[in-house]
Amino acid sequence: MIARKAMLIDVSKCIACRACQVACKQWNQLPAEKTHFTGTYQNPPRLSAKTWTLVKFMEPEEGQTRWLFRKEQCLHCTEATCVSVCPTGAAKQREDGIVYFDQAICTGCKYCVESCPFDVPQFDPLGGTVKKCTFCLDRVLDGLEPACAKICPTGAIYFGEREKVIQVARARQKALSEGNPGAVPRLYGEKELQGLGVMYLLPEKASFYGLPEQPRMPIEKVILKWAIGIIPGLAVLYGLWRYFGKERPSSKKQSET
Amino acid sequence: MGHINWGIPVAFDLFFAGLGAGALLLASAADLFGQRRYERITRMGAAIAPWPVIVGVILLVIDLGKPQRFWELLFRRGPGFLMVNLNSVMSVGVWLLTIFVILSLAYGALVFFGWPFTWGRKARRGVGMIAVPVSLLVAVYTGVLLAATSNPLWNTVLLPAVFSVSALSTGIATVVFVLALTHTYGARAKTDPFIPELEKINSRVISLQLLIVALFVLVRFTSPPMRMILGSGYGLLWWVGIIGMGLVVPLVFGFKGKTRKPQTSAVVAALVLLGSFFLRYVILIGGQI
Repeated sequence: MIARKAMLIDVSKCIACRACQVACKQWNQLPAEKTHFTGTYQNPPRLSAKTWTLVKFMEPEEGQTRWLFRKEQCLHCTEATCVSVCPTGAAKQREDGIVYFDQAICTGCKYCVESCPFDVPQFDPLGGTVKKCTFCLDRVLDGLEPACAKICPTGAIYFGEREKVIQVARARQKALSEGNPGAVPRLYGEKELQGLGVMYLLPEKASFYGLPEQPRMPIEKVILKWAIGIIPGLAVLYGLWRYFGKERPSSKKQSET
Repeated sequence: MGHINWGIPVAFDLFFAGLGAGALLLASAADLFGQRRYERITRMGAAIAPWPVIVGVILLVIDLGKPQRFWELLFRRGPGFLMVNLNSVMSVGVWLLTIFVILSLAYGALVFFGWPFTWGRKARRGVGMIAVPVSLLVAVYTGVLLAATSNPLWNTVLLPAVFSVSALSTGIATVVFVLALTHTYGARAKTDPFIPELEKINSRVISLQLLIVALFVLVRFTSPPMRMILGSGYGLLWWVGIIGMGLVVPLVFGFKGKTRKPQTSAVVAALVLLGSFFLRYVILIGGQI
């Protein structure tokens, strides 16, 4: 059994310098994007096929004024929706938990783009395939940590074996809540979707950081959805059977003609 | 959100796939359940069914980022040995569409050319029996595809019902439309007895559709994307175009099954088709804005 790899993003240590964004672009040879100033430091405005990680800036309008940031990227879910719904098998999950898209097989149907609970995979209109963070698979295979973890100047990004990462997170939770036991930051991703490959230490509510409080696989109730679509169809079919069958000899009703 | 990944080609694909499925379901149901008298409906439905679905499949392939790799969607390379990924509505749908196209072409061939032979008549009945569940599944697939995503507007158990009933009514409306046109421009008799009958059937189907759409609106009414759709320019299209012209008018028009001028029937059938297309369009595009 290969040990699961994971990353901890300690939001309480992040200073939003965006070095991770630059390191990601450099290592993965992703071009810059032409953007416009929109009144926020968040730049580029969203993840794209050319931007696999992005520091998001948020100012939730609830209670006191807050200015929050979170490094957004693929969370390498254990219950990975993209892997489940991919019709070609291009979305793959390795035994160490890393989820990546095989660019030689992806047809660009964009089903994963619509299905990801975190809105992570992005379609590349020029290349015709869908792209996202690979956890720097090429680096990890060589025993290195991902580029973003390597460059982070505050140590907000920690990468390693999942068990170890959870231990580090626990220690940090303890340190942050010392003298204030009511304020234990949530370890987001420890249990969610059977465990995310990227876990966050969140001092505030998950929804403030643009994360779903309880992420779900959208295909959870897919059988029910098929069934509920079929039922009215069967009702129509029954109606047709009654209508077209009204002249059957066995029918009690008198034939019109 | 804020990014339209599935655009107008997908709206047309969902519409055409549903339309073809509805036409084949009507054709095979008329054949299996009805007397010889309904042969004309079977022939019309069987003649129409494959073509819109073929167009839809072509649009689906064109909309891929890599159209030249479309076969990867059919012949999946693992994990597992199945070529179809049962978790993936896209994968199931691609297979359903492929089976549907082959089946509907075979059915059309048997209906039109198989009648002189005993085996042809038998095969027609057999293919018709498979065609009923396959068309139903194709009609449902168009809704489940969207309902099984993370999109906050689409992810509801009601959406498959909205799209499947809409698909069946477009299938019937298309048969009415083509029948009406052949009577308007063809050298046939001025009226066709099947037009009012089909309009009456479709009126019932549309009343079911209206009920399901009403439930969908109720369930989704407070959700931000739905509020945005109804509050924007799409709101008028939704209430007047889709609900009013596309559902209420044809419901009332066909309710009693009165014989009317074929031109009028053609216009009302076209309203059903336009309404159903825009229903898909607004839900598809509106969900991604």
